[in-house]
Amino acid sequence: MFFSARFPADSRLVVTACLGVFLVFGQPENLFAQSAASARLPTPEEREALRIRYEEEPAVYLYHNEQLRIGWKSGKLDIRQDHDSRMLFFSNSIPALATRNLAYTSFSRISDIRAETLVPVRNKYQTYPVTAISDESSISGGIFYDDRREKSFFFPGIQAGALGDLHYTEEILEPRFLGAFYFQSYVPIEEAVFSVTIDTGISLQYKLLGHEAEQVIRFEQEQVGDQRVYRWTAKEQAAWSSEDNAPSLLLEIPHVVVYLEQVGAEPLLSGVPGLYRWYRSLTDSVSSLSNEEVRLLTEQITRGKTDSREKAQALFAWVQDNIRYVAFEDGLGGFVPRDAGLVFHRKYGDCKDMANLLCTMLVSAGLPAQLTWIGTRDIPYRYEEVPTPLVDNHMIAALILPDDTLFLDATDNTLAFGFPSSFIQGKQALVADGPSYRLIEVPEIRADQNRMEERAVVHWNGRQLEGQGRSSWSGYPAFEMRRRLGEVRPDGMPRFLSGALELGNNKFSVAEHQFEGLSDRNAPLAVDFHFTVPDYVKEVGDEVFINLQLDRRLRESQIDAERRKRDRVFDYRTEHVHEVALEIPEGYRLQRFPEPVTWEHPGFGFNLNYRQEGNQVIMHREIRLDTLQLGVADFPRWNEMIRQLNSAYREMVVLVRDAGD
Amino acid sequence: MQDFPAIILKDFRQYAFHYDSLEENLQVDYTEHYIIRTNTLSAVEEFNRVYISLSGTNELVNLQARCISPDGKVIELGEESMKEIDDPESAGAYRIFAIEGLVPGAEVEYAYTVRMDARFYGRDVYQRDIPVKEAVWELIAPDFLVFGVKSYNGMGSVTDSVKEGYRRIHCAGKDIPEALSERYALYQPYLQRLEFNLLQNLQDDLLYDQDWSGMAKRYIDLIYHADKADIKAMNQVIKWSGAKAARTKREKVVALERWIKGNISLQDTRFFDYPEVMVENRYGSSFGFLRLMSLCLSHMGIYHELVLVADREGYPLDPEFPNWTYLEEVFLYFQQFGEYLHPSAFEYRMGEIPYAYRGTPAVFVQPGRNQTNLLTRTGVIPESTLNRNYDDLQAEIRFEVEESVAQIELERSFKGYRAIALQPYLEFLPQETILEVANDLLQGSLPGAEISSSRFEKATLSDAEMGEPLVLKAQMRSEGLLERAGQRYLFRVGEVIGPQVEMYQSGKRDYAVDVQYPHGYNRTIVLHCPEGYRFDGLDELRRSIVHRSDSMQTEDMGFVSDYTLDGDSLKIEIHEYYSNTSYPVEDFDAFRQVINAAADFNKVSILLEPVR
Repeated sequence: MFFSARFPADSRLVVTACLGVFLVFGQPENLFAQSAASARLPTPEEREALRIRYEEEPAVYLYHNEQLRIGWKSGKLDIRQDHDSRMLFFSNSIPALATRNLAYTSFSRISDIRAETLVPVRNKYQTYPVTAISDESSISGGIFYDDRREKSFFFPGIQAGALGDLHYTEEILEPRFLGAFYFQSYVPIEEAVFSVTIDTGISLQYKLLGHEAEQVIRFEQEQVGDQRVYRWTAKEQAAWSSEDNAPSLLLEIPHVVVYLEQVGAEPLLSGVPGLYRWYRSLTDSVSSLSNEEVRLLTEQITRGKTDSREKAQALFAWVQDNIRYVAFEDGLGGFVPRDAGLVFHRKYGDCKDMANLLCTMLVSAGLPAQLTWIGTRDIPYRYEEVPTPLVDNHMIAALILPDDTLFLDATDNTLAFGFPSSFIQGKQALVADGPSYRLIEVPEIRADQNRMEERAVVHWNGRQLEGQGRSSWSGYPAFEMRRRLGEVRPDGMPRFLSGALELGNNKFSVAEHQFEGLSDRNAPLAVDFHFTVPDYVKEVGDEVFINLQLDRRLRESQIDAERRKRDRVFDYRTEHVHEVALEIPEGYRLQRFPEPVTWEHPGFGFNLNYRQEGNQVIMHREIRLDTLQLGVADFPRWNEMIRQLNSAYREMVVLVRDAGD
Repeated sequence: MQDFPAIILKDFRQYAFHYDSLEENLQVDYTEHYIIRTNTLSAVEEFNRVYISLSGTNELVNLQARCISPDGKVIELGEESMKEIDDPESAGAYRIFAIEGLVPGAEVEYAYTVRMDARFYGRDVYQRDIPVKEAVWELIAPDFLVFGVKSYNGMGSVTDSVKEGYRRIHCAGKDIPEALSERYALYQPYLQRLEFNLLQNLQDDLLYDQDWSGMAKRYIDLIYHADKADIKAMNQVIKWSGAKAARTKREKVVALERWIKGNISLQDTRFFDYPEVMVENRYGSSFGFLRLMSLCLSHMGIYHELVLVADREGYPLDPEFPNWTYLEEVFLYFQQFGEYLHPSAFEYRMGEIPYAYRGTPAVFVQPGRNQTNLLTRTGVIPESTLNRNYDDLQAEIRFEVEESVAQIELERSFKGYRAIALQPYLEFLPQETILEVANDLLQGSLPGAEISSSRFEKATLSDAEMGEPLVLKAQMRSEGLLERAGQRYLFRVGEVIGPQVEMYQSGKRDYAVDVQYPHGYNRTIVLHCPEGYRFDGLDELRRSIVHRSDSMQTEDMGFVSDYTLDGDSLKIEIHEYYSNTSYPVEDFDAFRQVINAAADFNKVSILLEPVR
């Protein structure tokens, strides 16, 4: 989580979160424009005009500049980036904005921090310099240890109308980690300038990314003596905003990714081949076939198995069961997998360690397995588009079978063999292949592979509904349920199931239950149970009113189409079946049941119907979500479906006591 | 024992006091030694990472860690597998490592000793959510140091012996059961633990007596100490706040509070302990706020007491065992107004303090006019009262049967602790955010309903100061409340009171019921019957669950609902109340009945029947 966006992060890490951190501090200046010191201070009238223009905002960056210089120093590459920014505050108490954390790792150094608050006093400014800057480790999220640190301080005396000026210099020690510059931040930016100056013999590539980046960002380049200067400028950028379950912010925020293609005679990030060459040089240093114990274990696990899939499945399961996820990210340790034997002994590792151990075992069993780099769905780049370490944040193993490629991620111990993690579905994977490599798309799992079903046969007893139910799950819903079940203590199971399987209302209670497939992650999961739902049935006179929609999923899934601006992203496609059979007791007859309803759209839909069979009235319903991303244009259709579904949820079955009884 | 994800086989903690090599300063070596058996994968993931805090320590004297596999194989952890970090949130440094070779059935064992400058008080909690087979607490010190040690909640008896110039205090617990949290109950106060505190140094007088008066004196010395710059800052604050011009003493206090809380933001670092620094930077630590407020009050001659108190939901202050560990918060008490003041929290204004500090023992300190001859007494900060904390609802509902729509005019009003998270802040939020807050509240109350309009009333800081209820009025439209059966409708009237907490699952109950503070809900729902229809099936609307306490003979909690039908309008009145903060464990079933009565009411529906 706490690599800055400059560095590829590790498994399961969310880039938008990294971005949040980075955007706060990705500052700057440029070769041509004013330096922080010489920038003119705003007059009271100018401040007031800005306050009115940004009425709802707590602050605005007046400028926000980064100047990257890449050149030769004593025959060695020297990369420095000057950051300059000035923030105008509109409020008296905004500790979150007044605090700054400048992140760095062993790949960078931060120096020359100058920060001060300028407080308006009549027509002048009084200066309060920042004196205390702390320097501490910064570890959080899913990482156990990494070498990321932060220099932190806060601007003193912040009040409405005050300015926060910041300058610092960052020395970048790894030329592959130039990162990106973002033209939007968590507050608006009046002017953002990013410039790169390179010496002769260095070749730079850049990519403009984000929404309408070409229109928003003005680009210039010129030759100044021996140096080539690139410069990108954007003005009056609104603050970025976010919404739940939205596509990656990187698709929206205009940004520039820069990388060095060639430095002198040395090719660096020269396209995907260049990136792969570097990755390979890092992984080649790991001895992977040396460990005798790993070989013996592999032999033991695969003994008696002849089929490739069967062998691979057993080895994958062993790593899932026996190696726990613990992430140590230490310098290049964030990129280089540890020796398979070491991971085998320690019984823990990060994604790379687990991928490498699994590959080692698969290869030892004679199976064609490869280390594979991949970015999670939060990272919207393809390798050809951004051939830099920004493109990925995860490592897995790929098993190349004659008819299929399987993506194996042992960090998730609930995944069935053959299923990729849900967060890499549809992503491009960089699969090693000796000196060469392959780019392969990870498949998206079909809706019918992620199926949930609840079936129940019920009768009523006074106001209480009772019956026998069966819930079953396959694919991602099954993995998710197994994960939750794994956290339940034995004596807590009845309570857990009463919550997790709830039907009717929250008085739902499970009396007895029996699992199927609980211990086999490759099988569907099911549970049979007896249940009661008190206070569910309404009897008035001779009539009995019962709603057979015991499950009402998506009930509150209307999307606020007027306010929401972004597509809605789902973790996976899915299908859901709900069937309830109500027994009609002797002395009663069915007075009415609701009409069937069908709603279809390519990405989603449902159908439900009622029928009478013998002494049962049966409700059958299917809901289908067949997309990973619901487009804004489809929101009205989606809402219409939810409305129809809710309408159907309100329809009741009525039974009446036979006259004469 | 396999039923638990893990078991602590050994939890040994020791404080060994000794002089440093120069025989000058007392130091303490603190040792922990754990053996943990992990039974499940989730326990492996919980215990395979170890963090040793080095905060406030001078030296890590010793650290060993290993894993013992189910078949008895031992895997020692090498120095190279350990890392050091210094934590950004000023929690200090840590030594961290991951245990190698850990699988279910294996044992983690680690022991370490850190050396620190001597600190003579502390708290050690042994009970947790997994069982502990063997717990040992030990303190070894030169015999002239006399400690008070108290064990709580059945942790075992404490022995104190002296031999060859050294004192050894020992306490052992065997088979400490797991403590699992329960809903509507406190947790930490019930855990087996030890508190210790130095009582006497037989060789040397202590700087402060180790009783409440001594501890209070230390506070007084810190709070009322001010240098020239601080006094200047204090005078500025008095001037800017307009406190001098205020008419009554109470108004002076309120003026000071308003200025300080309105102009200085809370930032809890020691740098901001000083009024001078606070006024310049516009940030203050909680302690800085306390100092600034107390100094201003003293300077203006407004009599006040300091109230030292601990969170009753954590480890409530034990009046019988003076210990620094209990001194968590300091409030001000004005005897002349009978009111408490929270010196730093923006949302708590004169008269209101967080509920976690009410109904709990505290130490009241009356500083003399020159802060020297202080008087200390222990007492209890009174509980809040039922009529101060309400969350009320009024709804008027009309139906458009053809469209299956209910039109709802809703009014919620929140008072006291029910309003504190919102009312003081609303006027400082942008309109759009206020609307979002209103909509979130309304959506939470009636999921799925459309909100056509909403607005807050009495939504300013001064309303909060005056104790006015915060009001939210809304016009809503719901399709979800009407269920259809041909021409007839079931109206799910119970859902109008919003989702209710339920306690349908019964089970073993160990702890007393705790509802945080006395509070109640008064709800009135008026339904207008549409033309051509009549209401039927109303009997479920009448409910009455009332509990009388045995000792007080008063109604101390209840849920009562009733209705009257007047022409076309059906008026339903519902009263739910909890007059106390806590109820003895024997009353748990009664409490469940009341809570569930509300949850049951939530499922009530009535029939709209066409008139033939």
